[in-house]
Amino acid sequence: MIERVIEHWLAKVNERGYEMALCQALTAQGHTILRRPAHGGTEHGKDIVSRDRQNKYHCYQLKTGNLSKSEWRAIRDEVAELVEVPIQESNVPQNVAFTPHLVTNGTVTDPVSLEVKARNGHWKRRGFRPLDLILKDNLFRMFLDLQGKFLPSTPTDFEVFLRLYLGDKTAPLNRDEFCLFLSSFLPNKALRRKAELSRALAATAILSSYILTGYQEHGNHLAIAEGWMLVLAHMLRLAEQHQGSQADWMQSVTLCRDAWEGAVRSLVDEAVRSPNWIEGDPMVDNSVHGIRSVLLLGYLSCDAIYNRRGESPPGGEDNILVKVKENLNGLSRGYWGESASPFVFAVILFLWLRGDEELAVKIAADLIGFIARENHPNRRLGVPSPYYEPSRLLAIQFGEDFFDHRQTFVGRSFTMQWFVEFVARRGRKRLLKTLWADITHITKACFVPDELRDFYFWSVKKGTEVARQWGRPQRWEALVEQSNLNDLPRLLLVEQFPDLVLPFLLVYPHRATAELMRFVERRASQNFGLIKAP
Amino acid sequence: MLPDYPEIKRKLQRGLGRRFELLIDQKAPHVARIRRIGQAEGDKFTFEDEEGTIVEKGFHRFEGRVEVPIKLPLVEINKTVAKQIEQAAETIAAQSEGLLFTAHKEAVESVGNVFDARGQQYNPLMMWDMIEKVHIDFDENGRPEMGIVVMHPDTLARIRPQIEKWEADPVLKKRRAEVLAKKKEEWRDRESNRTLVG
Repeated sequence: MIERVIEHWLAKVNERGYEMALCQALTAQGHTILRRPAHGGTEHGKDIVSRDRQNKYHCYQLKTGNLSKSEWRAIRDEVAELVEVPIQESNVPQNVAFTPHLVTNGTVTDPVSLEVKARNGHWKRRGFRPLDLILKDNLFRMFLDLQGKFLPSTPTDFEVFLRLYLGDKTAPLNRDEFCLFLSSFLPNKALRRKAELSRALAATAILSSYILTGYQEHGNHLAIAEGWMLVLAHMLRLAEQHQGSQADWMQSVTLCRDAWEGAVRSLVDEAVRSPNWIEGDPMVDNSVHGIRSVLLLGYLSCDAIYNRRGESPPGGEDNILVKVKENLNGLSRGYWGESASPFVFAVILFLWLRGDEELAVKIAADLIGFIARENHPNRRLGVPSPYYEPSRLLAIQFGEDFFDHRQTFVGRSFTMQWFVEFVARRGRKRLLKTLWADITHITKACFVPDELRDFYFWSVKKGTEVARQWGRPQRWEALVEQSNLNDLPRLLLVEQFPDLVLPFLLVYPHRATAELMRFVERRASQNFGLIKAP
Repeated sequence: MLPDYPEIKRKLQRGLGRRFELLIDQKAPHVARIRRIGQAEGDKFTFEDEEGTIVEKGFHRFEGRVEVPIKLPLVEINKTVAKQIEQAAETIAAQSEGLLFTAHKEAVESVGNVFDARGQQYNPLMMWDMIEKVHIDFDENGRPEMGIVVMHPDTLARIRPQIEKWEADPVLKKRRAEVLAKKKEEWRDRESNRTLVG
């Protein structure tokens, strides 16, 4: 069955779609990827540059579909550059020999094949290595062999995979189901052989590619970004048990991060260009426009914060700030429940980092007031917890689903504490005093898995939901001290990918805690040069 | 298999599940008054009680049994199932009400808040002595949010004719006013602690 899926996928995907899978397959074969399109455009006909286990270099040019004589003529110069121009990467010795590969997910006609053969003879005489053709059948075999035992094993698991593969690619990604699919074949325990680890991770990424490239066709950037973040998180869960062999997992994880970055960049570009953030039929867009606004405001802010991790800030941040400020009213209009809180946090953090503390504090205080009011014990339902996605809440709103019998969210909040601490860190005692009586009616809640590495799971069986009260009375000094605590979970995500914590929490809102939000703020402050890195 | 319509039947099953829960509520009136906080993951929860003590708990499983005798004609099956659902709801209701009272007993015993009548006949002053020991909250209009008194039906039958008389009794009225004034004072103290100080 998987053969049919790979065949079908290879037939419809373009080079951008299979590039990630190819890189992962090369990684599993022991290659180190030195260059790929995510690092910049094609250079001298080389989309991918890699070094294999024997320290030999390889360059790949990727194409889509069958290559007949006319298509070949159009790319001939580019192919010649691939073969003849030396690798220009800074981490590669000058004029080093390399094997050039022309890759396509189609076939080549006989005349093209004959011409390649003739040109190879010519190139060989001139001291270049001959061009190697990697065609549809080679790709098929490469992906199939790699998959090995890392496949959904039961018919039910396979059904989940097919449902995701064939699902509506214009809709949001079903994160719950996607995680179910990832957990269905990724090993739960540490792998005995190191080689199996890189193979398991590459197989995971390739299987995920089959599902996620479908979203690429429709430009559904959010679904792609969320998908790669989920894959990355599940890889880190496995890597947590293999921390000593970073070389075996780091490249696969990095490739997923690159794919996530690419999708977010596309989402942000589209959001900045769009005049009104309307999508599809405008006559019925009103019901979801608010939700979309919160998502976009959150991702725009998150992207701007994330991009400050480098040495010099990238261009475009000012445009993002303008766009965020223009659409700020969408925050209160679209706030659907506590799973929207990480998005609001990203916005207030970005506004504060860009110097608008008053506005950031006002938004935080408004949200504190809203949650305190709606979740007061005398209310009936309250603000839905972070476990409720917008699509589920829309289904409830439109009568297609319902809350559990006697369900209530009052009396507690998973996210209000982050905003209280944000305001406290800014020394706004007087403002918090006006809200405090209402705040004390809401206990602070969070979830703690028994096994720390289960943090990356979408849903955990063994763990504790923790609810704690505010002090009565609450000492201001104690609140400020708590707001600045630095007690972090020892997770690879935090230690190795600190700038991905906020993006991770946009996808996993139910994993966000006050500790992580403090860390996100500290890290962003360092990146913006507001505080010094330790 | 015989022709079937699983999609619509799944929806009907969900509806049936909802009606079953309503039936349990009817049979467990005390539990039915308690709102439900759903826990999406994990197998334990901890919370802080009014005294600031951290309490850790796991989950209890309530179960009832419904057996569908598939060899009977459909009309008979429906009758049998309806009866069994009623019984299962009663079983689960009894389990949940039982747990409520057990948990309540454990909680009051753990803080030494048990009022023991020592075998004496019910006397309305006892109720105010009892109320004096517990937290009473007041609503925004200053009215006490009194708890529920649960008593044996025989006791209720015995005291019911006297309630009107007790309500007019000046001694009891005075005691009521005293206790509620004290409770209000305590409540005000508690509420005044909802502040940010320093």
